[in-house]
This record gives sequence, structure tokens and C-alpha cells, in this order.
Amino acid sequence: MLRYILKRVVYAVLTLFVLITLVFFMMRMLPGDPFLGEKAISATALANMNAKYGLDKPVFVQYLMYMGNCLRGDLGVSITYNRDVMGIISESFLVSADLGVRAIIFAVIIGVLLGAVAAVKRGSAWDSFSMFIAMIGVSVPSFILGALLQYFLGLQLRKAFGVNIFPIQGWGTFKHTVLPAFALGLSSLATVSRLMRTSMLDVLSSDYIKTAKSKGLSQGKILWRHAMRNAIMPVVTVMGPTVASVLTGTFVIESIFNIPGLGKYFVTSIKDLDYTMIGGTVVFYGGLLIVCTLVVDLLYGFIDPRVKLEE
Amino acid sequence: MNNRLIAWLLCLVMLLAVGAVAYAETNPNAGAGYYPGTSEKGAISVECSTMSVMNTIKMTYSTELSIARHTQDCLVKLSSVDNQIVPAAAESWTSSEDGLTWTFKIREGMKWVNSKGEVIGDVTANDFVFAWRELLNPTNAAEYYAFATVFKNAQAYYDYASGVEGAEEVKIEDVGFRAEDDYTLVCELETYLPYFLQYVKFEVMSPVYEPFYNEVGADNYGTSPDTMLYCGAFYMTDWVLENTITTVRNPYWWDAENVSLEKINWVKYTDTNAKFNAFLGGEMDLIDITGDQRASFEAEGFNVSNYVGGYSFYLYCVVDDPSRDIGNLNLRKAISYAFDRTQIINTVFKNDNESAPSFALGISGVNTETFGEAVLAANGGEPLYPTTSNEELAKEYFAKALEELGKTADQIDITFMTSEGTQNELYSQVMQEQLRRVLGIEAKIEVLTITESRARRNAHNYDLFAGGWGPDYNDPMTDLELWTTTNGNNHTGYSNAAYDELIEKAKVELDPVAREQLFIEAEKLIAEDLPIIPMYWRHEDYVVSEKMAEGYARLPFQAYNLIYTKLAE
Repeated sequence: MLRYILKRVVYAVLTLFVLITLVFFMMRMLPGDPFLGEKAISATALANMNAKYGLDKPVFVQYLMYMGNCLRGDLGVSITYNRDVMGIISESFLVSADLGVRAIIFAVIIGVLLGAVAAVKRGSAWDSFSMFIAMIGVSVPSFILGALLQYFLGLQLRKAFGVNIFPIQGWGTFKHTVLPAFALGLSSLATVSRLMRTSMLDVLSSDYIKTAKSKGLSQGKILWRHAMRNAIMPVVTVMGPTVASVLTGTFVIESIFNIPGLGKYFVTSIKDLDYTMIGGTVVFYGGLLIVCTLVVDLLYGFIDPRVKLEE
Repeated sequence: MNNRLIAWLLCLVMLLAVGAVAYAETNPNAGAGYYPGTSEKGAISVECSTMSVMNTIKMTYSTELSIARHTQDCLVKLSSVDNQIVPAAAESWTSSEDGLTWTFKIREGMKWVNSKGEVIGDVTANDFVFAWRELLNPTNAAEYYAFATVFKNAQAYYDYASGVEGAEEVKIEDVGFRAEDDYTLVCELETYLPYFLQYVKFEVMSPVYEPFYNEVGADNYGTSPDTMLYCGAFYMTDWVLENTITTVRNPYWWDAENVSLEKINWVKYTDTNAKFNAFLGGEMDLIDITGDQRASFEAEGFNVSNYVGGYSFYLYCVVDDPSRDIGNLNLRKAISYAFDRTQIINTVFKNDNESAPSFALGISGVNTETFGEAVLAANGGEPLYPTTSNEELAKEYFAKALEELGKTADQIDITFMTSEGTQNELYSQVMQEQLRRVLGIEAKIEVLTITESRARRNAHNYDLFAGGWGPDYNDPMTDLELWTTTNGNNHTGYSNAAYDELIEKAKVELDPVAREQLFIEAEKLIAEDLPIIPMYWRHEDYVVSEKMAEGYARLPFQAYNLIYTKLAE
């Protein structure tokens, strides 16, 4: 077990190293210059700015310096914001993670329940209903869903009743989190419920469930003890990357609800050619993704003892 | 004369004065009951686009400068009533006869406060000296350091300190500004500058309190509300990066008794629909709006406000590359005449943008209200660029161009380089269609990221590229200087000795009327040579909730001045 974890950690570090290297050289190949604004600056000022961010040195030297700094946990200073990249990421990640955790809890609990019920009551109205929800979740893009929620539950509800039930935008109170968490979580909910239904159907038709039934176990016990535990495995598999992507925020949901999360920096840093910020967001996201996948792999062992965490 | 008559006359004079210069807005929807605004008492929520940097030494965006206008006091500032220079940190000033030496008397009793509203120290002349030295400090790499190069020896010092090869040694003490005592600041200029005060009103030139700056460190200064001090009408209490900045009324400000607004929440949006909904739902008091949103407001009878920031938009043309068809003057003229600027505005922007009659906008004239009017008058009341397509002239110039280039219409190779964005792309498509219709040219469109398009623009590697310019100070020089041979913003390769000479002459001409005449000649020369094709003057639409009753202003050089906003009862 320990050996397995160690090995995985080494792989994770290697992956991160390759990721940083690739991103570093790829972003340098992007055309343009981070300091070119609308208005011209003198050659001397440009040289001073390049020197300030170490961009006056040969690219390979910059790469070595960047790697060294990354090892020390220093992601540099953002060119756009003149602030520590680590500080920006940790501040905005807290917001994204707060929203993401709510979205995931909502998606997993409702998704698993919907999927399980749909499988157990296969062919019933329940089944159709939950699969209808899943279809909507998968096919309606979050920016449409977000805008619709904002318009109907934010604006029109307020107009109709004169009370502010769901704020239209912004961040800070529980009320502010309801609509964006719903919009963010719905597509994950759809994925989870569909996976859960398929896998549950599979499990329910397997021999050991039949055996359990013939032994006279109650329906509830069969479902909870035997079926659910096995059926949930594919959901756990998909949760690794889902958690990483939901926790780090999404550009679209954050834009629509004006939430100060991490999501926007993935997009704006590239547009602004803010090298340090691009590097920082990628390293952070990559790191988180690797950790989530690792955690999921380890979780397998606990949920399903048949999985041996060895070679 | 009896007292009553005198009183009436006085009232009349005041009314006339107000009528002539009333820029500060009064809410056009006051009391109409459409959008009462946000519920937080004494506070307003205002949209502000870019607010990435709050360290005044390092800021560059007009919206950042706008927030600094509320939290810092420069020597002078622009009035929200008439956009003219009025005292701020300096209560008075004098200049020598040759205009090269200026002495400012700093207002006594001004305080530095922190993000908690506690008094930290007094504002003195030394704070300006320190701030300007930091602006010229190469390790800060301040993009707008050039504002401080108006002072004697400043550019020489900057070059020397930056290690420019061959630069002679200059000490910072030799740069032309010094604190004679705590409340007397003396400035010596490198050359005569009729609009010098317009430079020191620029928020980059705000003072900085040295002991505090050194305590938090240069790199850390101004990266959060508590790593900065404030001497303006408001101070910053909260800053969520890329989202909101909260500024609160500063009771220690010298004119605080005339400020009734308690708080301004500056909110940044990336989604135009979100802010629209937020305004409709009473979560915002002031937002900029799109043409479609304007139509929906007007449909319900709500009055939309209009702001002219002095931005002029045009197409850059590369004129120094003979291998490009666009290098042909007659082709550029044909293109300029082929454009139906009015149709472009109605299709793409759907607002009050004005077809550009000349290049510079937002500048006051000597004897006319605007410089633009003076140019128009000098051209016999005719705009220098047509508002609608002049097909006859366009075809005439096009025929000449084809002959000179030895090509047929289908061989003409023109590409619109554009940066990403729905509106930018639509703008290019409409222009492309107009050239196709009038001249039969099949122009191409190339969509690039903003950073790549700027790099290509600076390298003169394009045919036509849409750009714009906002004036930095109230003098035609801020616009017309752009097209001189050596100007860093002249991305067209345009070089005309006659043009350069006009601008050089204007720099030393002391008579305002003669000077304006030189600028008018420069405007005419641009129209003749067309290194740029002026397209439109921007009018921005915005809406304000009825909570903001009056006293707010949005003007050239001050995108927002909300200091004296009065709220509805």
C-alpha cells in the first residue's frame, strides 16, 4: 500500500514537471508581448519592464529560474496585477472551491439518488423523470442555464413578489451561492445520475443480488448494502477530474454571476499574455487534478476491497 | 438700483453661468419611478471596467485613474462642473514669465488616512517629490513614467538610471522638482508647456507618503487596501481583485463637508447581460450599456445617458510598405469615400457614435467650444471625412489607384486585421461588405488575439487595423502628435516633414490662436495623406438609477467623477 502511494506520488511529481516545462515553452511561443498596451512606451521603459520580470534573460535561463522558483513554491508576480500569483490564486480559489463544494454535494447526492431510483423503478415515471433531468443537465450549456436562472429566479421573481429571494449577481452570502451552485452542479448531476443508473442496472441483474434476494434479505438492505456500494464505483472514477474542474471554477458561471473565483484567470491570463499567471494557474490546476486522481485511486481500495492497491 | 433688481440680475447671471458650463449631470429620470437603485443607504454601486492596479505610480487604465481620482488628490484636478482645472492639493500656484518655473502652495492640514480611516500623517510637498522620484525609478518600471519627464532633466535622469548606453550622469536631485518647504513645491520644466497643469492633474502624479511606502515595500505598495494610504475624497476599505473595490467617504478630506455620498462600490463585470440584469434588479446604480440594451430601455421610456470620453476611432493604414496595395494614397482615399460611416454606426454600434468629421475629439477650442468645431469651420463647415458613402468620388479615386498599381479590382489585396470580439468582427464585416459593394474589392478579414494584433500593428505587419485614441490632456497636441515621424504610437510608418514641422512649431508657439491654426493645418494634412482613416467619435451610453439625483460627471479626462454625487431623498 505504502509502496503504491509512493510510486504514485513520484509519477505525480514527474507529470507536474512535464506539465510545467510544456506550458513554459508553449506560452513563450504565443505571438505578442505582455507589455504592449494601447499606448506606446519608450524602448527604455520596455527594457525596464522586461528586466523587472526577468524577461530580458535567455529563455532557457528563465526556464531554470522558473523551475527553481516553483520548487520553492514561488509562482512569481503577475504582470497584469503586479501582485503575487500565489496570493491571487489562493484568494480566488477559496471562492471557487466554496462554490464548487456546494455544487458537488448537490450533484452527487441528487445525482446518485436519481440514478438509483431510476434503475430500481426502471420503466416507471420515476425513471423517465430522472432521465429527463439528466438529459437537460447534459444538453443545456451552463451559460444558458445560468442566464435563465438569473432572469427567472433572480429578476422576474423579484419583480413579481418585490422580495429579493435570489440575488442576481455577486458573492458574499449564502443567498448568493444558490443559483450559481445549481447552474454549476447540474451537468455533473446529469453525468452522475446516468452513470449511476447504468451501473445500478448492471449490478441489480447480477447473481449475488439474486442470491441475496433468494436468501430473503429485505429490499432496502439489498439496495444499500449490496447494490449501491458496487454501483457507485464508476461515479467515484468520474469524480476525480470533475472535482478538480468544478473546484477551480468556471469562466462562464463566474462571469454570469460575477463571482470573484479562479475560473476567469484561466482565460484572461492567456489573453493578456500574463506569463506568470498562465504558469501559476496551469501548475495549480494540474497539481489539483493529479491529487484528485490519486485520491480517487486510493478510495477504490476502501470502497471495494477487491481492488488491490499494488502493482 | 433697488435690492430686488440686483437680486434678480444676480440670479440671471448665475443661471447663464450654469447654462453655459453645466457638465455635471442631473438625473434625466429623476422621480420617474423606473429604477430606484440599490438599497444600501448612502451608497452607490457603479460599474468600472478595468481595476487591476491601484498603486498610482503603476496604473495605466482610465478606469483605474478614475478610482484614484476619488481616493487621491493631485496638485490640481478637473472640476466636475465645467471640466476646467481647479485647485486640489495645491491651493494656489504661480508660474514664471517664461512659463518654465511653477511654484505650488500645498494646502495645509491635508491628511493621509489608511484603509481603516485612521490619520497617519500630513500631506506635504515632499510627498509629491517622493512620488515623482518613484515614477522615474527604473526598478518600478512605471509605464506612465513619461508624465514626469516634463520636468527638467527628468528624461536624462531616467535614461541614465536605466543604464542606457551613452547616457550622461544625472542625479535625482537635479531633476526639476523640489520641496522648498513642507508646503511649497517648485517645478522647473524641460521646455515650455502651455498645458503643464493638465499633466499634473493626471492621477499617476498623485503624492505618496514615503515612510509608509518604505514600510510596506515598493513591490507590495498598493496591492491591497491596507498597503496604501489615501488623501482624496474617499479611501479604499475593500478590494476583491477583478470584482469589487469599495471606497468610503474620507471625513478628513479638505472639502469633505461638500461630499454627501458615503460609499462607492466599484464593480467589474465580464458579462454584459449580467450587469444589465443587475441594474434591472436594483443591484447596480450605474452601468454602461450596449446598443441593444439601450433600445430596450428606450422602449419603456427610460432615458439613457451619454458620455463622450474624447475617444476617436480610426483605421491604421501601413503607408511605408510599397509591397502593400494600401500604400497607395488613391486607394486609401477610395476606401475612405466608400465607407458609409453612418450605416456602420447604425449596424454595429447602434448608439450615438458620431461619424468622425475630423480626427481629434474631446479637446476645447480657443474661440469655439471644441477644437473639432474650429476644424469644421476652417473647412467651410464641411466634414473632412464623409458621413455616408460618396460612391462617385470613391470610384474616381479607385480608378486612379488601379492605374497606378497596374491591377484590376479583383487583384487588389486588402486585409482587415482585427482583434477578437463579436463587435470587432462585425465592424470588419460591415466595412468588408461596403468595399465589396462600392469598389468590388474582396477584402479579407484576419481575427487575432489582442496581444498578437498589437504586436503585428507595432511591426507594421497589416493593411488596415481598427484602433482608437483617448486624449490624455486638454490640448490638440495629445492627439495630433501621434502622427509625427518618431512618435511611438504612429504605427503606420507615416512620415511627412511638413506635418512634423507643424507639430514642432505648435510646441513653441505662444499665441493660442496661431497655435490652434497650426493644429488645424495638421488635421487637414492627415485628411490629405490618410495614414489613418478616421471612422467615428465614440459616444458611450450608460444608465443611472434614480438614486443618483445629481452632481455626478462623466467627461473627457475624467471617465467618472462621482465625488459630489447627491442622492435622491
